[in-house]
Amino acid sequence: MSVLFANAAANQRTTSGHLLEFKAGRSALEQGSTPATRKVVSDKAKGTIFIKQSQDQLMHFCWKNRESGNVEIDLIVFPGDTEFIPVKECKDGRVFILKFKSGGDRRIFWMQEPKPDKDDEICKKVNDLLNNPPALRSTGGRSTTEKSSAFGNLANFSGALGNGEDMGAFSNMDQNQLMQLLSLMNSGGAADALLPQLSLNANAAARESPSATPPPRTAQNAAASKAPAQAIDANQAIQLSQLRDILSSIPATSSRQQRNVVELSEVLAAKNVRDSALANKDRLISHLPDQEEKTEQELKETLTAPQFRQAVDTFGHALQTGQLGPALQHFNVGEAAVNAANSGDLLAFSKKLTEVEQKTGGKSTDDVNAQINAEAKAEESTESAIQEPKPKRGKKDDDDDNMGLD
Amino acid sequence: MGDWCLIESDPGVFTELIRGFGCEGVQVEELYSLDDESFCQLRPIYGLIFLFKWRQGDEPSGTLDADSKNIFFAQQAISNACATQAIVNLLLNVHEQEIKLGSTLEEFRDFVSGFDSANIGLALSNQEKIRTVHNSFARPQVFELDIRSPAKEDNYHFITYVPINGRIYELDGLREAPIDLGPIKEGEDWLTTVRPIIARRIEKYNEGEIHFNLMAVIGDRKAKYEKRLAEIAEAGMDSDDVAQEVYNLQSMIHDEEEKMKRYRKENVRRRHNYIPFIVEMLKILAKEGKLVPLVEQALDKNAKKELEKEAQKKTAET
Repeated sequence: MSVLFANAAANQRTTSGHLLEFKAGRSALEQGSTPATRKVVSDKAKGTIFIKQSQDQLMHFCWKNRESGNVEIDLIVFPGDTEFIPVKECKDGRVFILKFKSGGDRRIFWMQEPKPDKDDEICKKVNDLLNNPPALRSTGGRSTTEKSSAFGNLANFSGALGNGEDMGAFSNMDQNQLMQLLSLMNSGGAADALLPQLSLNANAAARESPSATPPPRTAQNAAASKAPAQAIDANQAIQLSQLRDILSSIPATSSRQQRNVVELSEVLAAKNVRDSALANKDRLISHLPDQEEKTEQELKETLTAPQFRQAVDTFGHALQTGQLGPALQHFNVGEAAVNAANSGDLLAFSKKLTEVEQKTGGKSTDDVNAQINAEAKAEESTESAIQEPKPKRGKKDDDDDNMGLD
Repeated sequence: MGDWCLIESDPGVFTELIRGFGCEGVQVEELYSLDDESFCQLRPIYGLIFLFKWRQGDEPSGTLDADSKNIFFAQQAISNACATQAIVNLLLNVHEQEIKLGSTLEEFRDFVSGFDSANIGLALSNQEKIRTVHNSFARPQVFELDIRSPAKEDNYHFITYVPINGRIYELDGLREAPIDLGPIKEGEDWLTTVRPIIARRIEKYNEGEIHFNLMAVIGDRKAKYEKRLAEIAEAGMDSDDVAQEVYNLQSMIHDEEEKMKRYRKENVRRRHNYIPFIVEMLKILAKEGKLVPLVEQALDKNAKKELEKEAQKKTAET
């Protein structure tokens, strides 16, 4: 779901097989018994975590629901950007967390493999695959990657390297290192500034050994690498500028985001919602704080109150970092919306919520609960129950979810 | 030790916090400038609370006074509690008739009498009643990643400036002892003496950004105005000037009452869990087909901003 380049979705259709698969379920953090504690709450759904590499060499960390067959989580992971570690505080479950260094996103899962003896091995394999993706398998990379995408150009570039053409300083920089560079850019490191160091590093490597040295994982490491300061000769300068051109054509994301994140308080700005709020004030007034009077005046003031706007922003951030799913389950927003919330996609969430709300005819949460109870009773007593049409689950919707950036 | 939550630094929060401790006769106002006029309006000022971004390695502005027997000083034990600690350090050093500390603070003061400053700080952090009042001003924390802008709340530190026995002291819970800033100049108001000290401090941190707050703990204004009204009524004075003064006092009393009402409203809002309201609001917008366009609009605006930033970066580089 964290699609950095739109064309990556296209590449998913021609992937090689899964590099790793294991049974796991999703979990999330909820508030614990005191304000300072949290507890891990696990979703019962049977699922599978699998890791695959798409045609453009990107590593995908995915979770599939074994019951529905839907791939509900699909994260592109850059080398060095994540760690998959056990949550030691969870003594009663085999719980693991996938932490993202850029952006602070975290996903929690629990092992569903029958025996725990392979857990450590699996954990190690996940980290290995995500942080040391398999290198280019063939030098024919350029023929299959998209020519139009900047990333495709990068792949071409590295493909050219693989051919052993004399690219000077970069001949030892393999796909791994380029991926690392991309990951540095993604996390806001000034990639341009790093180029001299990286080329020097590669140069030093060329002199020391024919094989690639372990690539630097972070901007700090690159700067601290002990590559001797040297003048960059003309040959290297040419390749540097070529790489720079390619890199600068890749849209940079701001340092703390893997996707376009909005302030929900902008979406729910008073001028945008005032009319709807007042028109539906009966649904809202009961949720207002206990002021001296819970009235329309308080409702109006709430929309511009800084405390409310802060709460909205916090809510929006939680939703866009995939933490809101479990909490939302109590609010009858529909399963599809909860799934969208779990993957942090605000637009998909809004679309799914709209589908549900326009179907139930705009009832309040309490009314919907009452309706569900009434229908359940009706089903018990009659044979021909009128079923609510289920939300569409076809491929079209899945594509919508993947193209969340639109 | 107990959990202390982060609270906002806002005169409304601090005023209600102090009242929540049971203390009467004071309120907190924010100072937006150090000039004489701002100080004038708020006099008498019993102490100042200065909030700033804490940096390591800052030298103290005066000498540490470790032997001070008539200064109450609590060292900071818990960082989230620092607002309350600054307030307690201030209140327990003010000896004015108009200020009634209340039983909670008086009992605390008596309990720690004779303790050293580190132990006073520890005792404060264990004070159940005080902690409960403090925490009642925290926002309901519903999410693990409660993302408030970290730039606003992390590493912010409160210190107290207070006049004691003819000298000015800086009470900083992260130091080992009160800092003696020198004597109050003969015949001068303590604020006049402290002003350049604070100005110098602000300069040190300024760097083009304003990352500090200055709050004054002053006498309860409504009480002051009511007292004056009573004086006038008793004296039985009767003239145009007096009538004008009475009118002014009444309108100022009304302003204070409105302000306190507003503080209360804001604090109720701070404590309120808005999630059910937000979800209901989202549902309403969804039903009306307005939610998706609003989200798309915001996403587009963001994307445009990013592109502009990139374009600016590029022109800067060439």
